[in-house]
Amino acid sequence: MEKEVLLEVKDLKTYFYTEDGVVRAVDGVSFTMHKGEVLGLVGESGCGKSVTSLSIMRLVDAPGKIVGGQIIFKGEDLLKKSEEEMRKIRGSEIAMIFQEPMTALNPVYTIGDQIMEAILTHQDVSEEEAKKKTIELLDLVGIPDPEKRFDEYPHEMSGGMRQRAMIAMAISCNPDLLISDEATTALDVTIQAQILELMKDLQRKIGMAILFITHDLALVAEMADSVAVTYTGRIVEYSDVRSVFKNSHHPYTYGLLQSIPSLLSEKTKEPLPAIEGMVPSPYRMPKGCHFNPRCPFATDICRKEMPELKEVTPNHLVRCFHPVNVKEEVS
Amino acid sequence: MANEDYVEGGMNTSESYSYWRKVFQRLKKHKIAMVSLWVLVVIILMAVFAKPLSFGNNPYSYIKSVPWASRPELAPPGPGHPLGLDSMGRDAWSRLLYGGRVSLAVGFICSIVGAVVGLFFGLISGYFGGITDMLIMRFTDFMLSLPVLPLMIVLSAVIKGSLWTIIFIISIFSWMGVARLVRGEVLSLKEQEFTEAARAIGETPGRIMWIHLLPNSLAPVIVASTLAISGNIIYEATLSFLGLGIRQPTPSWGNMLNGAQTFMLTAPWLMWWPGLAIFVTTLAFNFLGDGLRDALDPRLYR
Amino acid sequence: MRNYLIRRSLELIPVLFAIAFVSFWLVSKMGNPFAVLLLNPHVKPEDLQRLMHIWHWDQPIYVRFWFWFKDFITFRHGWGLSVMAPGQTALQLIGSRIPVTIAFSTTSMIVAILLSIPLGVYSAIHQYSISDYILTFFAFFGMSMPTFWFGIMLMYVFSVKLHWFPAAGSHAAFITVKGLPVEFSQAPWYLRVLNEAWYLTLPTIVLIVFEVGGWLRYMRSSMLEVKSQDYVRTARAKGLPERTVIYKHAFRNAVIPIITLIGLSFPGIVGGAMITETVFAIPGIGRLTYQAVMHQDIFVAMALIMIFAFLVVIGNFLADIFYAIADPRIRYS
Repeated sequence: MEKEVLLEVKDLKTYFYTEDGVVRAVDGVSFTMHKGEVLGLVGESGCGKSVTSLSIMRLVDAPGKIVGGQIIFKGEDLLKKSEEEMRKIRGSEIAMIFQEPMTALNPVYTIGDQIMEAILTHQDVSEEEAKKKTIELLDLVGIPDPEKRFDEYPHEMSGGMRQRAMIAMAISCNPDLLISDEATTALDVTIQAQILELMKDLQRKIGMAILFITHDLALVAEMADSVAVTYTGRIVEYSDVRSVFKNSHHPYTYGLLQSIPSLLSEKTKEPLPAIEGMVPSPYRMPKGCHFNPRCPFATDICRKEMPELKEVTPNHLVRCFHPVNVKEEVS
Repeated sequence: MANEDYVEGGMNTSESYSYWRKVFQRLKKHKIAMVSLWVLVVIILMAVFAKPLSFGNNPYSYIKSVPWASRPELAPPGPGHPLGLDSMGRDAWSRLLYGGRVSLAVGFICSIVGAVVGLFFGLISGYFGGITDMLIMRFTDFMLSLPVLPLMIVLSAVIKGSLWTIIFIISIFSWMGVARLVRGEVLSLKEQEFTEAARAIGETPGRIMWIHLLPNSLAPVIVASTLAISGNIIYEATLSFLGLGIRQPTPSWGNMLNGAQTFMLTAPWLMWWPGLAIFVTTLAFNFLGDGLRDALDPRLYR
Repeated sequence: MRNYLIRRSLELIPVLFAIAFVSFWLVSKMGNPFAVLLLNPHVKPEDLQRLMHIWHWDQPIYVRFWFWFKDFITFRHGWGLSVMAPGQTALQLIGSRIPVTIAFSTTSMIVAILLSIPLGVYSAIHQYSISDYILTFFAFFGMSMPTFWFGIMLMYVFSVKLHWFPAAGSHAAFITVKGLPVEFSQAPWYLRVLNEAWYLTLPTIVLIVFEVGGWLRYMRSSMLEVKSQDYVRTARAKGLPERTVIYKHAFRNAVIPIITLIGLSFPGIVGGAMITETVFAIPGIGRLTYQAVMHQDIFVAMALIMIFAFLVVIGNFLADIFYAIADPRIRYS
């Protein structure tokens, strides 16, 4: 059962022209999302995940600029659309939730007002209807006593509730795609679990796709259908979630998974393997494969050339000259 | 900073400079601030070298007569007297130069005093907290609620003015802003670990404040003090204009404008130059202060 | 919220009291207000002693202050006698001068607000454009301009040279009504208003330029800061039209600190009005303060300082109140 293709990002490039040099935040990212699919976009801080999502929404601020590629959403290239056309898409067909709900919500307006605003902008309904819908949404996202909460200000709510309100705001117009940019990072672990449950629940109910951006691999394992691992602005591994977790081929992914402590592991007495080194500064990228200084398997070619993203096993793309864990094919 | 063997890409080797050089580099990009800096250097030099620049005149002697005017008072510009003579027959150009010394001195000194006093109160208030903080802040708020100009006028009338009394009077009202700024900085620095670390190894409060807190609070103080110089110059000029600040015969840019309405008709040039001097100096300090603020803004650093 | 207001009002009283005492102590140092009466040959030293006794001036400063303060807050005894205007009480003298000052300083504030807020927002939205540079430059000009010099320059250009505006005073002695000169106080009210407006134009402009200078920059930087906040990005991500993003979301937050600033600018405006009135010889309370100090008119000077202090304190207080109203985070906590 082939699901319809919703979003195709092709070779997206977004650069930042700063005083100190050019930062190639997104340097040739490509992926595909189908209707109702959850794609986890994983990577450490500063590797371009947020910029990717902002690029899709075309909300990249100066000194950043989308310099290349295509973003095909429902068959149309978003990069070719006018600002007015994009405005109609934002909030209604593609919605986004952010990391810090306290600063992402306007402190001087009630949350009811802010959610209603989204509804009234994109839908032709009366104010009473919008208000009714808002209260229903607040209920749907699990906020108790929604009529009362409607008139509350963001600072009067807890972090978890604020995030729920943000989600209510995002899904208010039944978007086809929800971009969640580290939406649970700032929350306590138990609240985080609740929000994730909520998101999964809503995703099933509404049938929307989720671009789930995070640095936390464990969350990806729970939420995603497919996973794309990014490093310094490029995708280094891309496949369905099982393949990536059980059979990671890129040394970076492999290293990340190895460094997750596990109670059940036989290796509990040994030191936790960590990837050596740090993410390089955007102004001083290493030559060749950007991961080579930290890679235990790096050879000469890795230091000279950048590998392409290639299919190493069926439906499993890897950007590496020496992918690991590849069972030798006997042809 | 990383020293590994990395190739290409990065531009800025300033990453290896120290903090202040980086600040100065940022400042250099702010063209208006740099222009203002040069203008101020010129003005300061002119005030410092007032003697040689006066072409042998001095601001105090009454010229007996000039060949191109019937009376020495309010004589127009002529050879040897580029700005003519003032209402008492004194050379206006040398008065302008020497007046610059007074006005600039007042501006700088009051600003420095304000910074020092403000730092003192701010550090103590922020570091010790509790009752000390409350008392000092109440006092600061009280001082801020005073109507400044009316009280300065009363004070100048009561304490007959010399240069140092004027400096004293203006300084009284110049420290509150800095105190508040410093207190704010200290409060946030207190939360950071290095302060706790210093206390844990038993450093005395004095040492902590002097070595750790003070240097880190300096940036906003520098900005505020630079901007304060222009305010102080204007206060001095205003008081002198009203006849209350620097008293005759000592020249100051402000008192050269005293009674300007009376000679406006006959010698208008006498009112342009001192006022312009004040205006340009104040403008330059404001631009410089603004440029410094941008250069020191921590948010603009990665 | 109500508790907050009550608490703040209660805090005002000790502050005003402290200001009053400090000012009284300072002003008393200027001398004995009754001494000038000795200039009158008909006044005998015993009369002076008696007069001083009635006004408690022979008592220690604490007693003097207490009586004066009581009189001041209850508006009794005319707040003392005036030296400059013999026969008039301080209250009468001040009362006659207040309207002019209020008229032109309030006008200047209103115009300045109406100019600086929109221009500041415009400047921030079009950052780095030519208009932004021009506006910023103009703002710096206004902020750095010594008010008395600007007043003198305006007077020189527009009064002396161009004769567009009168050079001094707040109104003409005579206004022409139907071709005949009529004394000012007898002329119809609309002509009086127009005439005063004409006289007060230049001084008002001086104040406006100074106020706009400071406020425009502040509005601009507040707007710039708000513009880069997360909630503005959220508003855009919701697909709101840009105008709504700027005016409903950004501006509403950016304007909050401006309200505080305007309240806190009261001392500056008070001072500015003082100088401007002196330059343009306007019979307002600013100039009166200067004259009172120069003539050692203690009662008038004290009363005026208290009025100014009161204005400053009220300004701060109002700023706090408006801030609390505008920012729900303060209102509900």
